Amino acid sequence: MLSVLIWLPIIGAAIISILPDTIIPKNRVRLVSLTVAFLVLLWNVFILLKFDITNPGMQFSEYLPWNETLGLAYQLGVDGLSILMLILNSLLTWIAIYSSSENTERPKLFYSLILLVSGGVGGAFLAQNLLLFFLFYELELIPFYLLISIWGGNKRAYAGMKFLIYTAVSGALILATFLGIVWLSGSHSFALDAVNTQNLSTTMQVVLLAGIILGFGIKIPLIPFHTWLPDAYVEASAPIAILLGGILAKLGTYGLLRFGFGLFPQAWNVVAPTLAIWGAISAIYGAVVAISQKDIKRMVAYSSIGHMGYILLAAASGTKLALVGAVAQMFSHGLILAILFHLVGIIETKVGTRELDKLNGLMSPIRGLPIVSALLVLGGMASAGIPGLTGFIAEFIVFQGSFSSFPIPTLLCVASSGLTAVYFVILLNRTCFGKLNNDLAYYPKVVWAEKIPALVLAGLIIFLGVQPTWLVRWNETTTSAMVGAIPTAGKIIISQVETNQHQQ
Amino acid sequence: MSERSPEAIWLMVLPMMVLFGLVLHLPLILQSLSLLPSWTALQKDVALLLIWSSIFGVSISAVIYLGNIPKPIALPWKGLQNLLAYDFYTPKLYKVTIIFGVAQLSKLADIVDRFVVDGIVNFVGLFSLLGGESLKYGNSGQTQFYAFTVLVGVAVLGAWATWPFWSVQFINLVF
Repeated sequence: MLSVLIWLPIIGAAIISILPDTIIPKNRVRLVSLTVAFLVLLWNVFILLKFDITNPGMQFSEYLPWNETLGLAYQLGVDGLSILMLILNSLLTWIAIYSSSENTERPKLFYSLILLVSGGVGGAFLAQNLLLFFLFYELELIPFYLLISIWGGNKRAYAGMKFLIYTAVSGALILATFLGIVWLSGSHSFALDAVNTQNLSTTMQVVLLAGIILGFGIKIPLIPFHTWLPDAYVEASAPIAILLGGILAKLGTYGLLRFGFGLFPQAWNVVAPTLAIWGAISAIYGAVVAISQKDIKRMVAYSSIGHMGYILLAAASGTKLALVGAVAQMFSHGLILAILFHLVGIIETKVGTRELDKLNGLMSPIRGLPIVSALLVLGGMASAGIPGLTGFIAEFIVFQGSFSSFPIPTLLCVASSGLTAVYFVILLNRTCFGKLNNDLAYYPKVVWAEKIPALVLAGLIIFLGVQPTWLVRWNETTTSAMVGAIPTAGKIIISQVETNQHQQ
Repeated sequence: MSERSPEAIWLMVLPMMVLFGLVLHLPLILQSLSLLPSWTALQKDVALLLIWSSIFGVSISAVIYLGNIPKPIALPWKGLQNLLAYDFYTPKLYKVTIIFGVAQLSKLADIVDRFVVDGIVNFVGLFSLLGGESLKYGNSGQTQFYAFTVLVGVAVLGAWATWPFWSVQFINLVF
């Protein structure tokens, strides 16, 4: 069941890249890849509907022994933490392919790389074996490097190489930590449920956890390992930026939750205060630097850094509500980032520039881009956390859950949420409102194929903002089980606020 | 050409008119639903104050708008007039304190991000590139030099790795 999510995109990539032009002509490649992505999305929704939300353990498990001497086995499973990420992966792949232009150069390579990435990320979210996770984690490096370097902007070679080196270092750190975990704790295989770190000394646990945090921290990204993100997101074309920001960054936070929080319950209390302050600093840094950007794509990239800080704060707090908020924020940030990058991509294609000083008055219904601007306003509001949209739900749960453990970092993150509103108002004010430049305002028409991905995402954002049950019901059981594994002796909780939570 | 007064868009006027009618009819609606309190609950002092403040306000505005006071109205002190006219200088205060502060902070953070954080990364990259450029001229093609380099490298690595075992005697020997 779950293998379909990995192998259908990969088979689709093979079909697109290997079959000759007589069977799949160049102008039909996008349609074929759209079909494959849509089939994967449908299968994913089917799995979502069959998912049992009352079961905290792994569901739909698959096991195939692969290499017993290495301890590598093809073991897949999905639980509350990964089911939403899988849906995000399939949805954003479909959106990214739909968002790509119809005259992309070298379409076969482009779409086969995108489908390969989609299959690889799905495999990483499904893997229940440490080495298998690492395999799928590293599978994305080369496709993304090629996607950024070939179809990107002016500084694409620099951005692609920087991305490659940063993520390769992250992969090396993670592999070293995984090997350390398995060999030092004496497990005989790399399977996730066989690894038990409880008999290691606390120092050793903290050292290994630091390796996990550093490795995944480069991917999330956390300050100061974040500098690959603005360059990579800005130089990548819109569909690649959607995939980078929506899915790849979530691999980092997923890895932190699954392998950091899940494998080191005792050591997590030791590092939690550091992580909470780190998350708050990351959130404020991302928001403050975004205010001074003059390029709208770079502004959205820094906003992504800020929003990932909330996830780190929630993961550090370790309360049930905060973990539910972390997973909710992962999903909602993926949706919001996708709509923002898609719309910024349309603006760049139609208007020709991305600079804040030159863009003006796009809301005009006569010669501007009214629907794109209106959806950009919606995306900006969602990112800033306006109630009624999904961003507010995720942020509110994160803040409510983290306040009992770490009040000061939570307040700093609330301030950063206010700063998010600052730069989005700057963006919307300069871009959408104001006066159109009469001489230059002859923009090509925005066709329906460009509006549909944004409308789908906007519909989801509004729906999840109004009916948040559909965002949180999948992961509540699993995250409660994960939090229950943490020993309560080391946790710092303000008892009054904790009592308030119990009464709800 | 007839000059029309500017009209507001119907999306604003229609709800306003509906609400206008609703508000004017509201006392009658409350009376018919028996939601108004009885006359005994009325506090005479408060009611009197309210009526007098309304009369006061209406009469002042009648004097100002219907009388012969020269417009625009000039207060005796220019400073006071400016204070009220510019809204207690609130927008200017905000601009000078909060907006300026946040903008400067964000510019500083951007400079740190571009030149310090990114600078370290780019410096490492530049260092590797330049190091490679200068090292490539060291190729001589003679195997004995390469073998000697390997030997020296392995010796240094081995010495560094076994340092705890011979550090004490070495320091005693030298110092």
